Amino acid sequence: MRNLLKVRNFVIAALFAIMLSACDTGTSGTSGDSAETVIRFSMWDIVDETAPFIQAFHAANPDIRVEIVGIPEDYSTVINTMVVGGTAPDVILAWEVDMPRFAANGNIISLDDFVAASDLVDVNDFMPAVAGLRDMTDGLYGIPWVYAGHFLYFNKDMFDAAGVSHPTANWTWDDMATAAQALTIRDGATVTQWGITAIDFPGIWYSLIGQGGDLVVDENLNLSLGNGLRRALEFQNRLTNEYQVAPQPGAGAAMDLFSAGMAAMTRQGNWFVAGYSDLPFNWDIVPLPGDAAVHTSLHTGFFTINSASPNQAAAWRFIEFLMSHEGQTLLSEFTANPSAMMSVAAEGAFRVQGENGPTNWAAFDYFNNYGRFTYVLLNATVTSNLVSQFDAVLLGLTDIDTVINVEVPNAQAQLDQLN
Amino acid sequence: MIKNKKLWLLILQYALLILVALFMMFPIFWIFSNSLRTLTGISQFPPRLFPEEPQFSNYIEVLYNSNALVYFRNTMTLIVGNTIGTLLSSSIVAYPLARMNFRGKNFFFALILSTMMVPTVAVIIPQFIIFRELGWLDSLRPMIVPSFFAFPYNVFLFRQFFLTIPRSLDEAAMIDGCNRWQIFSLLVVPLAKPIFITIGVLSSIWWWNELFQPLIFVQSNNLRPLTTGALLGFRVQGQQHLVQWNLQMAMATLMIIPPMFLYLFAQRYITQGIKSTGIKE
Amino acid sequence: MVNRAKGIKENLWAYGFLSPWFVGFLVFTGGPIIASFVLSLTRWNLLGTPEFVGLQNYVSMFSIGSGFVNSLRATLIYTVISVAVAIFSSLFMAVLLNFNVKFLGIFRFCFFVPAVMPSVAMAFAFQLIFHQQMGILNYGLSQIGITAAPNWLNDTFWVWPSLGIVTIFTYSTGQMMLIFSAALKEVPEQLYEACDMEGANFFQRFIHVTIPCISPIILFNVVVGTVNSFNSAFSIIFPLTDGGPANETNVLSLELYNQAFRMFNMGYASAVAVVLFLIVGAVAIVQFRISKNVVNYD
Repeated sequence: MRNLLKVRNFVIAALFAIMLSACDTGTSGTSGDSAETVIRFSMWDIVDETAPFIQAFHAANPDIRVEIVGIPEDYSTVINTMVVGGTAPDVILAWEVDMPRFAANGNIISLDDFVAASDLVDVNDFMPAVAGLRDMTDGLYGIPWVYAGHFLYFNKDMFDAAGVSHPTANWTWDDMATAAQALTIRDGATVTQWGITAIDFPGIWYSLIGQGGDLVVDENLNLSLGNGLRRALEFQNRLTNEYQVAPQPGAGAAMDLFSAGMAAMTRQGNWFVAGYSDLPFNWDIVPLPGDAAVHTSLHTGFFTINSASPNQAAAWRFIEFLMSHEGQTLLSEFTANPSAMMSVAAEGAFRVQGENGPTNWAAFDYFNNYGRFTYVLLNATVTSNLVSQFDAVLLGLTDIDTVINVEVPNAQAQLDQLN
Repeated sequence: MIKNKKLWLLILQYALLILVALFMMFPIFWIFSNSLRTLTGISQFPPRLFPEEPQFSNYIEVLYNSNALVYFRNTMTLIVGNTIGTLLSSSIVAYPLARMNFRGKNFFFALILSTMMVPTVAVIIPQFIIFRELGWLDSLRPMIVPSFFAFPYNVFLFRQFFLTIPRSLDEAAMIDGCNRWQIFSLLVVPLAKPIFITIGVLSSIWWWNELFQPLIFVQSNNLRPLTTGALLGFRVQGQQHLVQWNLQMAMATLMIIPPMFLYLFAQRYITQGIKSTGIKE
Repeated sequence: MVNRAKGIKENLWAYGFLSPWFVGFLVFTGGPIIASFVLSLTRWNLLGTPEFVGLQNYVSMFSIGSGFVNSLRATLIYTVISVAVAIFSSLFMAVLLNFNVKFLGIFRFCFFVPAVMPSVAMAFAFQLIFHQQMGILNYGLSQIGITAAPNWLNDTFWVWPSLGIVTIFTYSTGQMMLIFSAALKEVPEQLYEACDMEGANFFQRFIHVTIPCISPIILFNVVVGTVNSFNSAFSIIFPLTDGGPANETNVLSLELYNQAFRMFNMGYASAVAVVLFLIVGAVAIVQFRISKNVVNYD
């Protein structure tokens, strides 16, 4: 009997230990044992504290420690859950669609006073398209970290083997389709080399639609999709189902056929330059081909400070560092994205040179001339649901008219409901 | 003649059994096989059953250069916390339902049975709001603390087992001056060891595999358990919509080994637990 | 008097034992169910205060373009397919495990072990197996002459058979297999012997003796499987198709997740939760009715 009582006491003690340890793993924040301030910082890239821009910040600011909240997938959803749940980090790298909402709801603080007091951050230096986003909020709530657009990547070796001349900045959709046909290799019914990959990133679809001539998003942040969408769907459908030079889009199992050496071209964000740096074949980049228009949708993100953060001053010092010349250079090198500050971008730190490519760094210039922020200003779930309808057209599950006349209005209705 | 027929029957039976066994084991084999490929080897066509040059380095990569061990720690925290919580609370709650007469017994038991069927997803929104008010989001607490307040399904399993212990034991102990708590903790619990193991094992398997609650309650990568960690954690650096399939498969292989062994060694208890979900014996 | 006092004391002891569950029920189940009803009458994105909108959320559920009706349909199809597949495959395996041969332990292990595997691991495996261009399944089909193989997970028709195949490897099927296995052992040997006397073959025996003997168990498994399918739908479909293609497999639990935790439409999502709750409640009532004859609760 005694023993059993002991066992029971032990179990109860263990139970409390577990509950306490569970509480422990849940909390973080300022550590008590030193004067070090801990700030949490969230971003979508796969990053840890060994990243150069974090290390450089730590070296310059030994009294502040940055803890990374890495969110590799579904970033906007997760960060929104954290904001509504009250667990958001001190510094949030916020998406274009989220930053104004967070500002309007009081989740992030105005940075006007900080910027005014700072001689490191020059808000007049931003590239025009990014600077235009400042009107989304009444006052400055977020500072753009870097910016990005889309490219056509091509496998030089495959082009040379097929005797097809390389893509240029003046390529049209038709040029791309013709080349894709010449580059596709079949073994009976099986394709062993695809001319071009399927579209696996939503942004590429919206770039394509913009090239088709649509505004995509109008000045009131409503969807503006019509003839350009029709042209885009018809074009991608030709590539996929008529010429069969691009595989069908697939849910889930997204595999990069381009880097696997099984496709001659792919359309991806410029940040793939970093990921492709060790490709075993020769490759290069060009602007995305144009149709009714030359266009790429742009991306950025904003450094914002959580209004619930107890360490707002430290948070600002982190942002200030990242927006400084040194910080922007390190960020550009790390992400292969140009700085939104024109003076820094001009120095070209974003040019992450791989072994076998790229050489055509001039391709980056078209972001400035032809890039616009479009679908990224809208709710990510709605725009990616719409993309699954575009994919459904290619899979023969729905038709173009239904998408334009039913699904687009549905998406608009969903957006209206969210506002 | 008859013997011949029997032999054919036997061969047919073994053939069927082996065929189905291969079929059932194939996804597990395929996970393992893909875990030894390179990222480009995953998309190799025609697919080979086994890679020519097995990349065991994938496992080193997963163990040393990913959050796998952090995910594992979080899953273990969930398992240990829930097992202790549910064993303690569910057995206590089951005791009067099995071995006492009191007002409203049938009502409470019916209520417990019916809450057994409420899907987690149907009550997740109010739970999310409650845990937000408590400041428990983005921690493991929303998934551990509730286990200390009895899971209906486990209460039911405990009750079924407690019913099999002769009630005369309780009465004898009462006459000796034991109170109800003493009877439960000193008499019933030691006799019910098998059901404690069964529920411990079933609960461990359940939390090893649980996907939905961590998806809702945990946002930080370093607090994720294995399921959401494996689902979201293996992206190509800088190309987050692409999955590092080979590493994800290595992770999946590591994830399927423990339940396999648990089943191997606790088969009897798992089988017993599932069978006692209420079939007339 | 003494007896009554004793009765009160006994009641207090019992309620004391039940108290953890009282709290758990109020906070984690009963309370949330009531709260869902209340929330479903509001519009709320979790920031600011909820706005009362009456039955607006229920109206928009059935308005044109809402995904709700589609989700109801997907839930119905998924439930029917997953239960049917689980019943047939588990019964088939249970019959095999009832053979009078050696090494049954090894076979039982192989048949059951997928059931204890994480559904996300299974989803990874099947995403590769079902891949149209690079999947081993379509490669196998092409080797036996089927070149027009389906794009399994990306076709509104074939995605259902695909989910059906995946169901074979779920806990639900394993659970049913063990229950059938136990039930088959209970079939009286004399019935088989009588059947043998009349010269019946294996299938006749199965139809005329086995099935009638275990029919209550089949019924039990159907109902339990139906309830299980509401819980398992998310953990299987979310990692495998995330509701696609073209929302074909966007079952109610996924719709709820999308509305609540991707779009923060908490009011509308709560209305979906209420409907889900009502459906499960209806199934549960059926279950209780049937269980009375099959299950021994006392």
